[in-house]
Amino acid sequence: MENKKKTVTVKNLTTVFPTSRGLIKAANEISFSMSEGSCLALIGESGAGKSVTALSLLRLVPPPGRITGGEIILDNQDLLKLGSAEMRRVRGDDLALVFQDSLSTFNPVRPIGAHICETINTHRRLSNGEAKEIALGKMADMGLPAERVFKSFPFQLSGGMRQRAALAMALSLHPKLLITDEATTSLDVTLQAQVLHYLKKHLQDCCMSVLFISHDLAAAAAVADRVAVIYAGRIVESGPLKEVFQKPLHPYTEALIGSHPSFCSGTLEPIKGSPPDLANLSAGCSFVSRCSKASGICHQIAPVLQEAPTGHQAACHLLIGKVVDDGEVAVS
Amino acid sequence: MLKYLVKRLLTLVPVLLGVTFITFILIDIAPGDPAEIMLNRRDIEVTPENLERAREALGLDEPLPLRYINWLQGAVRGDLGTSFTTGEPVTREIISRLPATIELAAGGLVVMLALALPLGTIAALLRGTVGDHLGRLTALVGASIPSFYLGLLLITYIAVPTAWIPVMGRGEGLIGLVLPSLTLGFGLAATYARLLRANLLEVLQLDFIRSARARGLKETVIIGNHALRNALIPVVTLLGITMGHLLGGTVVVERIFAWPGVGRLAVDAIFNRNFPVIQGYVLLMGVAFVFMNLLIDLSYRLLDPRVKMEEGEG
Amino acid sequence: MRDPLFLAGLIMILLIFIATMAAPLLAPHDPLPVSLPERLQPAGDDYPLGTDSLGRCLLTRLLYGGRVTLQYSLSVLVIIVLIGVPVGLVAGYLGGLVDGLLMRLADIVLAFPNLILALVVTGILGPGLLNVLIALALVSWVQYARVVRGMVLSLKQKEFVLAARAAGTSPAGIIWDHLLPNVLPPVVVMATLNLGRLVLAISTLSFLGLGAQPPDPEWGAMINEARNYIVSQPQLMLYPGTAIAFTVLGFNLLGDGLRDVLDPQEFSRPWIHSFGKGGQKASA
Repeated sequence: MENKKKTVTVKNLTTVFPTSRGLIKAANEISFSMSEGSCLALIGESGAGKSVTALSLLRLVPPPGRITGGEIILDNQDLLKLGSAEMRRVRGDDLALVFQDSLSTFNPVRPIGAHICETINTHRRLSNGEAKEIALGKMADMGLPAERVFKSFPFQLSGGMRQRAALAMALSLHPKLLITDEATTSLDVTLQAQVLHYLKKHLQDCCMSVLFISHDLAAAAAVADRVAVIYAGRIVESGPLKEVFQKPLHPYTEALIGSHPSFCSGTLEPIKGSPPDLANLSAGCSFVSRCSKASGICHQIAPVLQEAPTGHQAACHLLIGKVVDDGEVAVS
Repeated sequence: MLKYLVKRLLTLVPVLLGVTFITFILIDIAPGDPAEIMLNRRDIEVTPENLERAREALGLDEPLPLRYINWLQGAVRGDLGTSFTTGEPVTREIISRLPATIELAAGGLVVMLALALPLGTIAALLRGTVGDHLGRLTALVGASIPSFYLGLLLITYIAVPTAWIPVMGRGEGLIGLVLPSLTLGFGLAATYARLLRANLLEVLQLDFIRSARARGLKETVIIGNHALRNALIPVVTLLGITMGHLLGGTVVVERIFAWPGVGRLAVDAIFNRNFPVIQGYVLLMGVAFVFMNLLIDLSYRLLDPRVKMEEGEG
Repeated sequence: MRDPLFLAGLIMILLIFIATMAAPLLAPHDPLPVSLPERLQPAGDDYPLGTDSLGRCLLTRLLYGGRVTLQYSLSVLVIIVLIGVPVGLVAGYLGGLVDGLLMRLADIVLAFPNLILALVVTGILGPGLLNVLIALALVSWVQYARVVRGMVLSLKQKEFVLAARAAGTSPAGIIWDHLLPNVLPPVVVMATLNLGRLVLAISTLSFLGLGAQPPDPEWGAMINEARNYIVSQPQLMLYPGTAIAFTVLGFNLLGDGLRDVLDPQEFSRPWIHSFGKGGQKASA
């Protein structure tokens, strides 16, 4: 598709959680790839599997959850095949994660600077002075009063400053892949714009990829060049930003855009119903109970991702345009 | 900081006044005439004249509130009266015994921390395993053994057979401190190891631990530098109560090991109904307990930077 | 209830209770008479556990000694609950002078190591089990009063109390009908947890010579009497010492188990629970 080097390729990543009500597939055969300098937005409702995907990429799924299969190729190595010590060395270095709540990113009883220097010193043989130098530089890049923030405790900073400091920390070692998990969600609009601005600037300056996880379509539209929509643990649609937002193929994407104020010109249409119970998925499409266009086959067979003529993919029977009412599928 | 210290110290004054006053009342209603007791202890014949003189010397002919005020005035100057038995100033007796008790309490504290910190951490890491259950059982048993029994067990089965650990008294260097400190600190260590385990498990569930893992920190660093420190904060607040247990425990341990501290002085005074010494001991324990709590408060503030902020000093 | 340690605690306490309360039936000898010719006998047919330094049957004294320890622990507990709970109820509900006095008193008593306070009070009143009982009750009831007061303060704001007041129920009626039933269950738990500590306190004070006086048997006092023989006749202290540890452990296990049952946190794992519902935690 693109000529640039692929930095990240995820194939069929599946993460499950055993619960008292059965096995939950929180991330179900997730596949995507990203090239250098690109930003992929992973969007979906709460509980769709966004955070589990992020934690799976870092192999930090909280027990009893576990990754049952797939590949995570970062920089030509499969992260799922690394030993735990090797994996630890990747985290925070080539692969960084910024969480939603910056207050929980930092240990409440240690100053911000100590966190950043600690991260740097974990992965690089540098003197304390050099580590501090890097930390101050990155914080200044984020438009922070670096010296002051360096000495501050997390509770002494505003949410916006803390989130920028978290971003500075994540970027301090020039990761190949940066994952931001709802990193701007808790900020107010102006701060959000600020953080997104820094993120975008960094994306262009350095050769990294960003996986921008959010339920906020506007924020995603502001930074991403590609979009993947996740629903009930599966990616249901993905493609270039404009394509997906302007010509959504999946009814869920359509509904998602329709429910968002900044994308909907007409009346707001909230999505009917609620996400399905992951422990109790039916055989058919997981969106079927909320889909206004669902037909017989949708109840029986789960659709797979299909390449559409427009250059993007969606997992929907309607896409093929050859839905047979009695449940027979036309094989393409 | 200084303002805070002064404020804290001032709130403690009524507590000390209350404790000493209650002791005063108790002594007053207790059976036995102090003047007669004093004469008996000093082998002076109990005659009406001697009793009269003793009463006067002890100020017993004055009403209770006035006697208390007199005692307080003396106490402020460092004069706690004279011992019934020895005739020595109580202050001097207490001060000469104090180093031994401080040494013992410090030893007990060290034993407690040296056992509780590693054991609590290991138990948290082994959560749910056989080792963890064994740890729980050991801690429960450890907290159930009375310290006087533990002390005697240590003497019988460690000190006597090995013969190189002194059993009684103080003054043979640090080795003599080992068994008394162990006796004093063991039961508390069991309690604290459990407490630390629970706190650590709680902290390890927190988000910042997950984000520390996402930064690629080693598990040892995460536990040592991040989790442990946060888990210790609530433990430190409880140290105040523990100090009380330590002080109470010194009385028992000093008796078992013939340790020449203030605890033994107090027990002897109790048997001799040596009221000035008892009164002095109460004051000393009150002051000690109060100051230790102040120290704990300060170390708490060092561990948790948020506390200062809340008081608007940061 | 599934907790095996809780069950073990229950069985241990029942065993101790039955054995000590049935002491007159179970004990092979009289606990008091001295028989110097038979001193320090080894265990045998006549004396199942041997005799002590004054020729008295060790088993007999052990059984009777436990009776003393348990009886006095329970008596102290009953007294402090009977004083502490009403004072806490009244202070919490009425506030004012009673409340102010109680809180000042609590400040003083709780600012002090409990054992030291009990030791001093016993010391001033003079040695003896009755004085130990008075001393322990004197220094312990305040805790109950303070805890109950705290509970009442929050109960006071509840609708059912406000409704009762609006209906014109007298303060005494509200305290008796509405506050007391709510306060009792936590007090029962607190009391169970406290029993182990009371057993320790009574035996410790007796060991120091302030509690049970010779020739009365009591576990702590028996260990004190055994002090001169710990090397040659260690069983003299091992039996009563283990009996104390066993009893205290029983109460601790019981308390530990009760606390677990009452602490719902142990039973829910928030993460998965909210995850299944697609809740916030999963995406946070």
